[in-house]
Amino acid sequence: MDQIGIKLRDVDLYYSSMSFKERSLKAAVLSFGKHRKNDLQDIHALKNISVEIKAGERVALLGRNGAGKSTFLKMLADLYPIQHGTREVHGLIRPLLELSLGFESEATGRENILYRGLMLGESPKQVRAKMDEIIEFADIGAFIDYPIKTYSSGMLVRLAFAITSSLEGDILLLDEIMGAGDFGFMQKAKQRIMNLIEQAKILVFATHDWGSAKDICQRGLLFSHGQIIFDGPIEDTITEYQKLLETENNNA
Amino acid sequence: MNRVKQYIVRIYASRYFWWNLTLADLRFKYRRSYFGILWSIFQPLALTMLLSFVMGRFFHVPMRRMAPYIFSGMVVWDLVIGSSMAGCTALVNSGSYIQLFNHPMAIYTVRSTLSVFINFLYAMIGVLVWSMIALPDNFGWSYYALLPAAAILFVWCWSGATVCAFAGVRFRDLPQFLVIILQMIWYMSPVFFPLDFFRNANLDCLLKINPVYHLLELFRSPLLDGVFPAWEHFAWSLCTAVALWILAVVFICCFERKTIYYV
Repeated sequence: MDQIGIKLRDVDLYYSSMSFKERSLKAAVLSFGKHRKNDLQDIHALKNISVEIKAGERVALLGRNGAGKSTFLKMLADLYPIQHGTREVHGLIRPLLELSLGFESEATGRENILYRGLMLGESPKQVRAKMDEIIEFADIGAFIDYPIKTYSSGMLVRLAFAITSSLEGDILLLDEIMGAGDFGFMQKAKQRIMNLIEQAKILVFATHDWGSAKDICQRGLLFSHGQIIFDGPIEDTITEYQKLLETENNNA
Repeated sequence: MNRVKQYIVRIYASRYFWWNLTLADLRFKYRRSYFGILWSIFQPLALTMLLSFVMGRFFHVPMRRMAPYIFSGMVVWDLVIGSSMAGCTALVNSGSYIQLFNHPMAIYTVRSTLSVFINFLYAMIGVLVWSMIALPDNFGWSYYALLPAAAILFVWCWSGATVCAFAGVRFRDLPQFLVIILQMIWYMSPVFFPLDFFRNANLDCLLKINPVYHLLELFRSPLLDGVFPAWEHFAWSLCTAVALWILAVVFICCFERKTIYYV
């Protein structure tokens, strides 16, 4: 598969629990010889995922919190390693995930535009060429020359969104960023995302907003407990999701 | 081997990113400071003047020779200790980048090592000037040996920092542990103490197996004696640098993919 596309076969992904386990001397002494009931186990976050996404497809990921949507996106972005199966992703990935991360708090907004652009693979020349347009879109006024430790969380997201969304890519990964910033900015952001989506060959979009999912995507993947339980046209996926929610609510 | 080559190509591809972050680290460190990066020279210089006066009296070594000895020892040791300690937290501090983009994680130790190394290069200017004033007869071709010496020292420090980074992200006690280890190495190394101090105590063998001694001699032979460093100093330094580099590659291969869960 040399052309742009995503092909996953029998993918399993486990969150390692080692990093969250209490490993202090105090814990070791107190638990010596005892079986700990609350000992953390590895989480089987994605189970036996097989899916193919071809160029031109717009795919929405639906499911409750913790169903595996964000993990799926991070796996596609090659951030999380898979334990079993095969993962083939062809094309330049442009992830719009965890927007408020990856800033140098001592650096100004202008400096951070450069660093984030470089992180995403641009050259300094390319970033500088887009600098004015990014600053205009972020619309944070004189704050652009202040250290970002002085920014509000909304301003941070606006800046991050303005930088990341100014760069084009083949495969766009979006994770619930429609709610970033105030109402005015949201309208601008939506328009910008629509333009990006038009330019991208593939869109994978995790959302709880069924309206946006219907407007943007033709295909939906429904996640539950780390598995894809439905893969089909977006309207059918939303219907399946509604049924799932009803069943879960009745069982609760 | 192909994997290592690809990895190095990826480090090169992200060069703008880590180089700009390195420069940012230096800017933040000296932001609003009057003397800025000149502190890299002033700090060891001030300590050298005090120590060379006291230790010169103590060991009966003339200050003219003692001062560049201590100065060179201090800047090399500061680099070793600074790069190791910065390495311990390099990945933890870069957690937000690691969770956003899949760059080779070695770039974060390149960043931490480079910013300490640039400070070292500034400090070396001070050492060079002092040596040329105090020991002008030594200035000559042997000074060219400082270039490969600096390159070996960088590989040494970057590899050590990478090993510390991958170990430190899993074992958060590493910095405290490392302080003790480095302190022990300091006492076993001729950083400030003259070589005769060790020889008179019949600790010659300790010097010969101590890589820090060989690294120091790469700089001291040209500066203090005006000669090229002996081949054994190059051989020891190069071998330990390669061994550390191989260990860093092994750590990257074994631990990099799962590191995102630890930052």
